[in-house]
Amino acid sequence: MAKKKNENAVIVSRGFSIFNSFFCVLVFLIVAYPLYYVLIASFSDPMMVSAGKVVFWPEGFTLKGYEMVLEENDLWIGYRNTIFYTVFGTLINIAVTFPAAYAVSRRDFMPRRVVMLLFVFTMFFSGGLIPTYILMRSLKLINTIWVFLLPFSLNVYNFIIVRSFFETGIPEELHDAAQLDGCGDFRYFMTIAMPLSRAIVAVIGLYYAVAHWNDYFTGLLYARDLCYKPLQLVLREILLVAQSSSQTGGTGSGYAILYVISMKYSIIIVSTIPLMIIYPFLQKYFEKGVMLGAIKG
Amino acid sequence: MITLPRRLLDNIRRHWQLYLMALPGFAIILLFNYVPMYGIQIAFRKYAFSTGFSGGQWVGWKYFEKFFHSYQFSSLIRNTLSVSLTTIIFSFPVPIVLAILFNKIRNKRRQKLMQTVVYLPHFISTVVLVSIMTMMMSSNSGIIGQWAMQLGYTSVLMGDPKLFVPIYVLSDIWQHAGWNSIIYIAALSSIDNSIYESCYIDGASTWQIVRYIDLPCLVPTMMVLLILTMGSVLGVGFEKVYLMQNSLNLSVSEIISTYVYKIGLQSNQYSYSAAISLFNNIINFFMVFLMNLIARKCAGISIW
Amino acid sequence: MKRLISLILCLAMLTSLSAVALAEEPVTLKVMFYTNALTKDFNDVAFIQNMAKDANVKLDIEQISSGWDEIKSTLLASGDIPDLIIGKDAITNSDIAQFKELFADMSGLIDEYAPNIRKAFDAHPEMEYLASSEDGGIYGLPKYQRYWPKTYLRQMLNVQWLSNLNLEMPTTLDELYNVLLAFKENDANGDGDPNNEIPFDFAAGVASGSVYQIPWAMTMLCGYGVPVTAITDSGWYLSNGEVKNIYMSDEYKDLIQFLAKCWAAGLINTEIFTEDYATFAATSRTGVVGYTLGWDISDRMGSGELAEQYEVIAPILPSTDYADKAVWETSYYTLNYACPTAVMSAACETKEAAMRFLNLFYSDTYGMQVLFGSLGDCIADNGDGSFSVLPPADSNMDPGTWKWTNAHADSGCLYISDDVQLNLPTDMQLINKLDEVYSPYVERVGNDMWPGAFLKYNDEDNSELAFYMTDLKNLFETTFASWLTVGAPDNDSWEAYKQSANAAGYEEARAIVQKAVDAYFAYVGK
Repeated sequence: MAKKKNENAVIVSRGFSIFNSFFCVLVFLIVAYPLYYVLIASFSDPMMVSAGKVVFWPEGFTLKGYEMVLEENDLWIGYRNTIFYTVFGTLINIAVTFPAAYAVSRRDFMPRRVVMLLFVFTMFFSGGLIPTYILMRSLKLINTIWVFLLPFSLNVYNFIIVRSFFETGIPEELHDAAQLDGCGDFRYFMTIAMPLSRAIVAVIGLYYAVAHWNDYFTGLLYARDLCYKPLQLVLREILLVAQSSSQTGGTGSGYAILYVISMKYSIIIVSTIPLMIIYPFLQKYFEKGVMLGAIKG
Repeated sequence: MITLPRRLLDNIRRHWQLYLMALPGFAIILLFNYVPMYGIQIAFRKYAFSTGFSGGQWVGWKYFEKFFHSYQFSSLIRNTLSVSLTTIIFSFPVPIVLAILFNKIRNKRRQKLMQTVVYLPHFISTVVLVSIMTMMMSSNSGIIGQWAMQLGYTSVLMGDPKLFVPIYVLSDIWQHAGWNSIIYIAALSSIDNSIYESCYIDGASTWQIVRYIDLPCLVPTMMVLLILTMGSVLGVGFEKVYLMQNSLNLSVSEIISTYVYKIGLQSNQYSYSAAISLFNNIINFFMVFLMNLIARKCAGISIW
Repeated sequence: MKRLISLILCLAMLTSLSAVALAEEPVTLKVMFYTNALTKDFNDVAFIQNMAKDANVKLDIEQISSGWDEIKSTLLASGDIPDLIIGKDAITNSDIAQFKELFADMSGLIDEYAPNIRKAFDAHPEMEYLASSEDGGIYGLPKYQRYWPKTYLRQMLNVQWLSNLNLEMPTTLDELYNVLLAFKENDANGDGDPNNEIPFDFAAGVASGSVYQIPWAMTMLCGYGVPVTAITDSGWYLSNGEVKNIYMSDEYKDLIQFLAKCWAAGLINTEIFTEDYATFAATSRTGVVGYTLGWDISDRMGSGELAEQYEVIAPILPSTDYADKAVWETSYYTLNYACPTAVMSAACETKEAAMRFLNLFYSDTYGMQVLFGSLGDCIADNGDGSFSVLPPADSNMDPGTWKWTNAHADSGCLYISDDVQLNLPTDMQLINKLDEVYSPYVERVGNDMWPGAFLKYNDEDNSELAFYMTDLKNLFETTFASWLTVGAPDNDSWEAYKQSANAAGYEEARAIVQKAVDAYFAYVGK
């Protein structure tokens, strides 16, 4: 049954279908080529890359870039940390964001507008880097894993998206019916609202996860020891060598420069692959009928 | 007439579960966002280490005036606005179009492939993105640069002041449109197939289905995101513009956030840079406020 | 036998004595090093560990190589600094002025616990001047690396291409133009492709550490007799003791005509403003560049056969009239001196130990190891009191990369005394040889050599100067780029440009710099 539904899922006219296919191929090429370029450049001789010889396939095939990236001991520590922060950080994010967004979405919650305004205000005004640092220090969060997990575990942007989903995406009648059955807010949230929101949990979870994955700033400011440093910070240090450059009065570091070009592309591949793997798994939550199907069942 | 505290207490008693659910989030915001906010006053004080953020001589609007009268003030505002408005106008609709079109792909596997591919660029860090752009647009070695040269275009792509904003916006769309479409794709997933089926049986054209079924479903999400986007009118991100800057395009690429970086962090002018940021944020907040007001009046949608 | 026993007893006593002396539990110092990204983890670097042992301290090392601006500003403003911060450009004089309470005045400590530093100050009193603040205290320690040349940039020309095309060595701008044009129009490198030559390549908008540099082509002003210094982004120079700016000089107005003409003819690499340094460095190694500037030939061309095609050439003259006016680029003070390179926290509880540790950076044995790397791995003891810097153990590396990987190098806190006998690595020997071309021109600069690190500003002046320079640099950079690529200025636009500079505070900025220069000359005159 489910399968048949999928096949029938998209009903479009023939003309539109042709246009759409054409459009998609175009988008595919535009988006995919630079990514493909990164891939082939990561396998190519850096001199060939800078000379513009690499266009459709690797030139001067080499694994040197990968060898050098994988040789970095710090990389694996960074990897371990980042995976830890991403998994647990995202869980905490969801545990904090969704209940709060649910509460604020309910009309019965009297201070909802005040709370909302207070939240939105923080999107624009902040005390700045230094007062925040001083706060973290007095909370003894610096150089602990908690600084990666707790602070800012509620992102107001995501919070607003979730709240407006709860407001518009779930029929109000459901809540009324549940209330008549004597179902409190806790139970309604856990047994009805959350299961109905699987798609949005997947999206917001992904947003949070990617933010954790790409975050280097927390590590830069608040992690003092290597054992807490995230992957992106480790990678960034390697990358920035190419951006900055010749040393003041230093003799040349030409060899280093080539080594950086080699590593640059390998780094992108190494640091992005895990996220590329996650997405197809999450995709099934975006499929049609997730929500209404649940209601019917 | 029941007084407000009485009503609030009453509300808490009846809906204590909601209050409990909101508590962790509220506490986090209060602690990590509001506690450090005393730092804002440094914009009105002369910062000195010995007196800290709350001490220091009160100078009022001095640093604001210094900014308004600074040599680059008008060009900073102009540059910032041209980057942000162009981004809003052109980047905003693309994810919506992508979501609707992808939603109409018949073949499920192709649909998934497309979604996965367009979302990948989002994971490329800004440093890397800019270096890829520079590489591809170089007239010595880049595929786009050499192509432009063959078309008789002689100026340096990454340096041409006329091309700075287009390149910024196009690369922004390239990098984030797919990612931003995820939220719309999720919203579209709430439309039941039976609705499409009955429309089709009634003889509705594809365009009509998009117009009367898909778009209305996306409107709430669109409105919320649009309101929030208006908050970046003077808040163009720092990193990408900073990395794209070079002396050829500096006349259009020096924006408020890069200026604050140069003057603040690199030369310790805490008070001055705090004043500029505050000015920036007030404008942004005002824009969101205004946009929200309009949305509430016109569409009944409000983010608070 | 008896003597032997007594000797053994004696030795035993000595060791037990020293054991008692050293039995003092070593204190732990929190040290933050600001290093290049290439530099190895100092926990694995032998000389650092030996220094810790000699000073009887335990080091808790934190090594930063990226994001320093953000880290520094939070550390300073929150007052949360480690016992020692070591590295050039890590803490600046303006940081010290603004956060004076955070830093220890080391002047008393030096006399008491740091004989090496005292000795260095006595041998080179200018180091003490460099380190002393207005109130007479010493809040940061200077470095002096002695061996570095007077010049930072050298110009090099592919002489093989000259002979391929039967051309003469150019000496004036017009001749240079013709040579470059010939490089462009012919297949100068003989690879069969007449279009892949880049006749003229230079860096514009390159940063070294946090300091941007002027476009390297600006050193061509030296042909006019303007003593340019390249390691700066603001373009100040001295003309008979008076501070001027290259961007406001009439010579610049003239030179930009030449450069714009080259650009229009397609002689200059079109990507100079947009490419990163890595690409710039890689391009010249592919053998397509005719005329360029850089630290030395092997740095720009690699150490292979390609390097042999190039020669370092004398300043190019605007016309033959300038033959006895021309000078060459000097960065001597910036290359050899810096201050502060190390600071101590006022809150440090073991100042004596910290000072003993810092003292070692100024000893004959460790000073050179900070610069070139550990004894054994990077420096050999010749046994006759002299030392030699070893070639890289990894034959793929050039000596520069090897140095930056194994040592704190030029970013370090160090002192090479005049007593040290050190055979320099091949790249430095080469530099000194190349500089024979420039020595007569550098001589001519005389007292107008830019004082660099020796200029000191008080807090107020410093923040004013930073404020003006943010706007001025923006103006200078953008007009240089647009004049070069779009066309050189006529008299009207030149005047309008000078007026904008004045509106952005040029005279005010100049006066502040002049004040600092005058103070320096007052010291020298004493």
